[in-house]
Amino acid sequence: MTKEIKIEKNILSKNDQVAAELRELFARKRLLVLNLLSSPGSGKTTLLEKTIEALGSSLRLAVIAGDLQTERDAERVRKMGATATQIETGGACHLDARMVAVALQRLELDNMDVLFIENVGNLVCPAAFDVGDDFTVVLISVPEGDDKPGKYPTAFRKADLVVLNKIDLVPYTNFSAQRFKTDVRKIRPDLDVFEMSCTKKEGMEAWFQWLKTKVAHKKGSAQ
Amino acid sequence: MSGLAPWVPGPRHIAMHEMSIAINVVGLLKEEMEKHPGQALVGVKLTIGELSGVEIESLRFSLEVVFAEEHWEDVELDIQKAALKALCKECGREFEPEPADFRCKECGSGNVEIKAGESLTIDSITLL
Repeated sequence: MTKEIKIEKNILSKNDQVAAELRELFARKRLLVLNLLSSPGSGKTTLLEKTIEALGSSLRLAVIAGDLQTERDAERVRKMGATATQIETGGACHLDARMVAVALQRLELDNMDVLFIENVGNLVCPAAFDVGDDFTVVLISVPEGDDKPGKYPTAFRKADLVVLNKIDLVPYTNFSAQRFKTDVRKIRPDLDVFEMSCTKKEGMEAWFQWLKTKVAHKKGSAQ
Repeated sequence: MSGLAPWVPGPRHIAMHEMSIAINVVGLLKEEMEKHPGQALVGVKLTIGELSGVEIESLRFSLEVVFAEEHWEDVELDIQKAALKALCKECGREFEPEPADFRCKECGSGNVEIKAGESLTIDSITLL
């Protein structure tokens, strides 16, 4: 005789529990934490480099870089003067809350204003895992095409901000920024899209301002 | 969290997050089975939200791999898909959004709350 037993358990409850603990810790430390999601090669590390260059003297910035194999991304941001630690996922396609918790042990949380979690380059898998961040920033670059919102709605639904990078390449592609933004807003009507070129350092002011505002808010919120 | 062991990548950490989900399922099932000593697991029911970012076929494959390690090859897997459901906070209509368009089908408002389709759940287990 078989019997069925109701469980009704969230499969990711363990991850969500660690993420909630992390969020509590970040609140206590008044540390702004951003989860950066994008495809490989869309410019996450370059965005971080230029952000550190512009804001590194006024804000204490740190990076947890998730990468399949190398230390390269962490080295690049360290060169710009930020604290960085790498999570080599060894093939895993996303970071989870537990990996972030382990990486945090290598960082001095009291000496930071912003922690960027540079997720593994992938728009599918990381969207399922809460890592305790305040905001999820989805970064898309022009050569990837303007059809990405429709293809990855889960990532865009999770996003709190969209950065559209490499806009200097628009003339060489059939990318329509208008179509892109229209599709983004079908998924989340309140989403801001910051258009920029990180390598050309164009259009980054709105992003810097957004960051400064969020840091100020986080600092104030726990007082 | 200070007691966490370093995260060591292993052969099961293949580049597919459905594998991580499957490992989580097995962990929860093992906890559950401890409450029922002497009984055998014969069936598992899961519900996977359409917007959860999980491919059901990839998950089924991953579960077969990790179930085999637990000698659960014969466990019957019932995986249901939960459709997206949203509630418009402007006009109150409940509707099923298109996969990439969450605006209300009645009034066009984007002020909607997702009611179903985002979660990953173990609904029940069947024991013998």
